[in-house]
Amino acid sequence: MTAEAPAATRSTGKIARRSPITGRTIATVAIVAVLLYLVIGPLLMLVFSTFRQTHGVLPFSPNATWTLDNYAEVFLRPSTWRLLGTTLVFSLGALGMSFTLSVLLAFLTERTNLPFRNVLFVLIVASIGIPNVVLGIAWELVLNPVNGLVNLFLREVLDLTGRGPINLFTLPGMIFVQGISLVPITYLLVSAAFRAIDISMEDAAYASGAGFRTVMRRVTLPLLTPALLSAFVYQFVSVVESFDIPLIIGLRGGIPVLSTQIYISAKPPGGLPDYGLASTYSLLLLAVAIGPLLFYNRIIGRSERYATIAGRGYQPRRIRLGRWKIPALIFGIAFVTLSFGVPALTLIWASIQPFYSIPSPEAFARITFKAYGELVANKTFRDAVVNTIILGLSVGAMTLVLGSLVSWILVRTRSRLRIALDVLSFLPHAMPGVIIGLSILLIYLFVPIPIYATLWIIVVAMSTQYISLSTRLMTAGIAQVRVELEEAAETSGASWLATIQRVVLPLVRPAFINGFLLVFLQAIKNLTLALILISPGGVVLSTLVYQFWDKANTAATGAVGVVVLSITVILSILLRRANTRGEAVVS
Amino acid sequence: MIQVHGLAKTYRNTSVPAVDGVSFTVPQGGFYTLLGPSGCGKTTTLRCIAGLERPDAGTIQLGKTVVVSDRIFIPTQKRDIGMVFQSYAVWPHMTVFENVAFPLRVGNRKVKGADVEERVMTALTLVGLAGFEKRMATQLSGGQQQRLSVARALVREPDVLLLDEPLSNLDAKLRERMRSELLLIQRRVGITTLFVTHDQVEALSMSDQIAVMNGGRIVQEGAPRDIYHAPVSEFVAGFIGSTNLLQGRVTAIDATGGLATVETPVGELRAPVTGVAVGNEVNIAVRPEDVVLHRTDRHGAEGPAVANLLDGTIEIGLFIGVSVDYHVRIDGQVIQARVGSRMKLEPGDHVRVELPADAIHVFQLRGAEGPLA
Repeated sequence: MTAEAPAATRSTGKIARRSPITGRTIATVAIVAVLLYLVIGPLLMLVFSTFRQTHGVLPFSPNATWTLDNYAEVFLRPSTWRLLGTTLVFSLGALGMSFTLSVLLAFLTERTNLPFRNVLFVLIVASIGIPNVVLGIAWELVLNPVNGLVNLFLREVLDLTGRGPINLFTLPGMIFVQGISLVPITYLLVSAAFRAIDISMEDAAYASGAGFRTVMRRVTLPLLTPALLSAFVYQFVSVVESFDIPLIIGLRGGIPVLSTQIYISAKPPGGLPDYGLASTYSLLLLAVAIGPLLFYNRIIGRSERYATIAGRGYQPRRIRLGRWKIPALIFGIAFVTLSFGVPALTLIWASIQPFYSIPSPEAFARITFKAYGELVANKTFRDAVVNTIILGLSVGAMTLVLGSLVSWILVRTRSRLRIALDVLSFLPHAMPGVIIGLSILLIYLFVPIPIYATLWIIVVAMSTQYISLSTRLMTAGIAQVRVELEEAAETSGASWLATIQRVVLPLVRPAFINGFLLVFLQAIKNLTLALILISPGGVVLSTLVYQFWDKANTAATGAVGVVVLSITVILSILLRRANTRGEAVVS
Repeated sequence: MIQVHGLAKTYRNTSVPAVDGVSFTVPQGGFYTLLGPSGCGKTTTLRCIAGLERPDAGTIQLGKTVVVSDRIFIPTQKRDIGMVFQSYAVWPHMTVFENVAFPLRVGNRKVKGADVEERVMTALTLVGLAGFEKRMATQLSGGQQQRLSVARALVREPDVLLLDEPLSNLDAKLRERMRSELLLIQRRVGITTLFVTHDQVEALSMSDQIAVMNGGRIVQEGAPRDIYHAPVSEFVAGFIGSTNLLQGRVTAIDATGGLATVETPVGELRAPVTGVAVGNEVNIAVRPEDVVLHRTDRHGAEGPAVANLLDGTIEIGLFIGVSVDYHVRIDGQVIQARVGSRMKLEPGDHVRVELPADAIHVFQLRGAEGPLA
């Protein structure tokens, strides 16, 4: 205010407040309401169900009674603690494996003169496109003790009979496949961490007289630690909630973990579902998943303490591998073969064989594309393709629109509802998919909105699950649009809506398209929600491949697997091209 | 002592060499500066000396040890150097003490327990950080981190100290103070120092010798005063502070051969020359602070009895405290003059502009960025 303020303002002594109800306020309240419905609704339903006696009845049925039996059954049984132990061994084992591989691979591609490192980077990241259900099935085809290709081969070579010698349906088997499946994202997180280190920190250590090992041990690793820890916490949630591989490999071997135990309770192979019991297991899983997240903020705080003045962006000098060049290259190729080559080739092989057998001259003579022909003629398959596309588009559109609005309010306004929005949009990240699936199921058994047993219940569930991802992506995108650009529109006389439409949206379009593709990809890959929520008649590609596999129709499994894999890998490559090297692909 | 000979380095994926045949010698205990704009190759040269880059050709000798030659490449950690980085590169996961102790505890010349403490404390005292040793490195301010990084570079008592733009991340006031502090420390320790900067004030105020670099080559080497007053090319003259540059032609040289008459757009000027002949195209440089302005009214029509006196009109005056920068228009050319702020002139005032003959530097055209022959 200058001294020459208008007389009228001075005489009244106050400035007229903005009208309390604006379009902005209404929009904010509406969005909070939608998020409450999507996120808190399911959680409430879950907690409610844990206190209901539900043997053979639904939780809100008049025949159900209030009870603490579910808690007694879950927490007082030794089997629960065994289940918890298995879950932890499985999770930590898979994480240990994926982090060891990822740190080695990231070091090789980011810091050494490894030949073909850029190709290696692309191939490692491309397997983000492999759905876990497909990966699990492919490895089952390779390593199952009855007719897994490797086992058939080993038996022939070693002159063995019976089953094995390798049995995938064990805890180490689960850990192995899950570990491989976690690598692409872990690798992206770790290589980003390598890139974030100010290279002069290492140069200074060399200039102090320290050799390579000392620099790695005393400087590089300590500097990486905060980023590694936060990646570990992030990936811990992913592995604890993982469902596909425990379902395909673990349950075959009679090894349940928490996520599959919930599924068994809610959808038992024989008998009636016990939703109360499933809900109570869910609370336990939620506690396990959220535990490390509580440390997350403290770790992030610590890593900010490491923030230092950044130097010029030198291209880091690459360490000369010398005589390690060939072994390092072999390691890289071996990993990519395991993570991508073996699953893809096995599926293709299975899809072009009338019956599943080891590659041999006779088997090559039997190659046929009949399975693909049958697929195209199969109405279920065609329905599945259409449903999958509708599902991906709807989930992508819904979460991205909602996520954009939430992000815009978070970044740009000082609304008092911001904290609520922040928490609501983050919560689903910590909610395992099985839990979201189960609680959404319970809601629509109860709420008279007729979407139960349709595709739309899956759309709602996936929207809940991916709202945190889309909000995260869009917050980053919107934060990049300088606020002055919006203010310039407003001072030019544009309304709030016009500003959003004409200025904000065009500028954040790249982030939006990128986010849309990513959510679309996740929706196609997601077996958990589809399997829990799908009605007997309905089908999407991920459940179709699972059904064929469950019925031991190997050729059809292979063919659908190849179709799904082609779509998702192409999508993930599109995503990478829309991105600068990897940053935002991390989900 | 640092001896660099014929150093060359071209980065992958580029066609222009970053360093293109650089040779120089830093005498024992000397403070030598590589000065130039970004991309001139000064930092690459320094990093080659540190062993952080591998040159394509050339030799480098530190003290009595050849560290780079056709057959030899001694890695960084085996070179007897201390280095201060632009970002300071203090390790955030260590305390101040641990940072400084690190060079004593690693490598092949490890120091025993009690000695470590003594030497760390000596180094910290030298840079004025005694008493801070228990703090985490990142709890220090920018200036303190900078000193810490100097202490860490000196604690091993290396043969040479390499400074890579160490002052450029400090704010203006602190930078000025650190200039003298850094120089005092260097003088006290007597360590051979190579300093890289793009700031001509830093270079001029701190160095024994300066090498001005451009396009991967050294274009002029000399003491700060020589570089400042006798630039050999337009590039050097322009890079080292602001200067008035005029083009001209030698029309006469007097009998003794020391004083020439040069025809310029502002008129005929007399100036001392060496190695030019009548008819040569030359450049003329005059520093703004050497230009003298006379009010026309005081001296009247006859003016003072000196040569190189030109009539001009004040265009604008920029008051900068200790002095005023006047832009004076003379026959379509603008000459900058920096005079004491007590002389008050207004735009439009007529002045007589004196370019003292001994302040005029005449050099032959060598193209805009030509290297030294």
